[in-house]
Amino acid sequence: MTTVTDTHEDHHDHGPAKGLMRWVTTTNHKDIGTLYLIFSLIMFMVGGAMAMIIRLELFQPGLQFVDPGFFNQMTTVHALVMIFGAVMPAFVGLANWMLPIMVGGPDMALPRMNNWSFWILPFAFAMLLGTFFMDGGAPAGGWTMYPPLVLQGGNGFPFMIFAIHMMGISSVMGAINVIVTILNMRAPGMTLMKMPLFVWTWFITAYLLIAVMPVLAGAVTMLLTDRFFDTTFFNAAGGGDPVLFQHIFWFFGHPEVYILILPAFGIVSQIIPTFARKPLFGYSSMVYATSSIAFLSFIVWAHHMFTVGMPLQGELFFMYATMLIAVPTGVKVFNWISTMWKGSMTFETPMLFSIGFVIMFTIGGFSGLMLAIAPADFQYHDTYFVVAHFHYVLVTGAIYAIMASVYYWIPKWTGHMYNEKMGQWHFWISTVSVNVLFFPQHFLGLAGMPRRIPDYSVQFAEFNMWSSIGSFVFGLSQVFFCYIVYKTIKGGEKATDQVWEGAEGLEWTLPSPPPYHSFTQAPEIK
Amino acid sequence: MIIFGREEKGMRYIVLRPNSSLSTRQALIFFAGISMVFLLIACIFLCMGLRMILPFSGLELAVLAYCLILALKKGKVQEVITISEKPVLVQRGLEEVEKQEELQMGWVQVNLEKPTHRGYPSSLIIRSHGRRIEVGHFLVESERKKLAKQLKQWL
Repeated sequence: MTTVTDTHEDHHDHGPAKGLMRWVTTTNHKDIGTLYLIFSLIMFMVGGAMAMIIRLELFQPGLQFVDPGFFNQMTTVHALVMIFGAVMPAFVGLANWMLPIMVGGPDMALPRMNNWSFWILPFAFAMLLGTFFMDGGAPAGGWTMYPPLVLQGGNGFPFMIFAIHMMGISSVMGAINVIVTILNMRAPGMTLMKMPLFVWTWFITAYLLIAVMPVLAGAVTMLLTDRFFDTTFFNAAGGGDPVLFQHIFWFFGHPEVYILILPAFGIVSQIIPTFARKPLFGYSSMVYATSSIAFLSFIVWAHHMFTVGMPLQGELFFMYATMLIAVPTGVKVFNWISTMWKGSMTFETPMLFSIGFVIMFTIGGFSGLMLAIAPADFQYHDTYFVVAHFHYVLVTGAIYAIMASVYYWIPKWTGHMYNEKMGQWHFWISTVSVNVLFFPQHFLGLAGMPRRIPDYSVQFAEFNMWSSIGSFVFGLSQVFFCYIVYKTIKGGEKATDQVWEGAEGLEWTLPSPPPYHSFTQAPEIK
Repeated sequence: MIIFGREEKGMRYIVLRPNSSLSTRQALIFFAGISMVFLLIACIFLCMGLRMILPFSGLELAVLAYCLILALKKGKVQEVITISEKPVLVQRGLEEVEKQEELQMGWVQVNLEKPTHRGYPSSLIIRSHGRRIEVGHFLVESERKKLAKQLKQWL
């Protein structure tokens, strides 16, 4: 007796388990991606609130609202929260949601580790933010943690180090998971050079992450032992060298900048072809340019420290190496523009944010080139020009790409279209205000206003006032963004499977929202 | 991946393997490349007196190696269903047979059980005398259906 039976047992249409424990114990890549994205949005608002305090204090010369010590805590923790709490987890969240779907895999390669790598983060940030309530307050020596200044902090110092270790462990586990997923979970036919650009940029980012995280871990551990175990790695009195810390910090720190921007390149490379209705111009050159940027990121670190006193040959090497990065970056910008050239363009919100990214990231890139010129850097160093430069790269670069990706993929995630009019308002208010916020800071820096100060000379008053007004509007526009996201999750026009007319890739072959377990059928790779 | 085969004297076999895009050789090349770069960086810092970086690099590489091995192992799991005149043999293992079960040919039923929740994978069960063996849990839905159809023809 032999039979094949399609047993029609009770068919409950309720997907995964309900309740809080679903989120605590989940190993599903979509759930974990959602957790990462929500966490990063919360941290974005926390870091943003700190930015508001900074700009409120700088609205006028003189000390108005906070004391200088607290101001320094704000600048330090704002940076740590935005880098490790907002931007990096947002990209990891996007990777979790999209990478398995884009390569045609059922899930991430190591789902349990994925759960761990997320759940470490809330504890790390609880510890970091908890330092505000300790004796001596939160760390105030800058996110770069230069000794000997950072060693003079209060009780919060070891907690900051431990929090950074936990963030590092989380990042490394996430990066290993990304690498193994991309290498081992690709659907048959999905060769490396057929992978979407977002997958490629994340693969290279993950490589960078696991290359530099041990350097950061080692550096902060040596700070810890210098303070508590009488070692003198960075103490000149004991034969150590405080400048050596700067070298190893920036050996981590400069690739970290690319960790924050390479996935953004990938996102924009997905979005522009969709709304230009043309394939990406120069796919292979994009892959090679990304790899070149990653390689060069290892040999340019000392451009952050031209003024510490380096041999002339060293200054020249790091100056030219830094300038070289403009070549692959220029290739990318050229390819994005060429993709748009003569395309049937439409300007939905994800495209607006992507075009905003291309234009304003390029402004940040150009000011970076100015800073790369060693003799000129002596004038710009530690001024507001540097603040303007990296905020153009990280806010109108990385964060704009994240916003673009949320608008691009949220119909896929939720099954609902966002409100296009609201999205466009969000873009225009953000774009006007972010330029009012950061562009005047170029002029402040060129005029000589130092960074990380709560008070300043009256000659800087007007530009600072403009900058603060821009920051308040930009901050409010992000509250509006949270409302748009909330409204889209709750409901809205039903999204189709393909969502966007010009969209291509495996993620658009799945229903919107995708089933809890993707690809029950083998995906067809073109 | 499913491989259908036929041997002598009417014996047939089906080999089931999960999809795995990484071969052992590729994993080794990748790991060797990445280790050389990371250890070089750590050793340069060690020579400069910065002793704390090497242990973290080593630890990280160990975790990466473990994860790659785990992924390779998952990808190398193999199930072989051998159908002869008397018993139906289901064998499972990595490099060698780790588990083997026999079912009586005349009593075998093949059930493709639908999932209890929408979006979850179905289960292909071979059962006989109250014993249930799930086969091909790592296959995609279309492969599982193809396998069920073939088993129906052969059993």
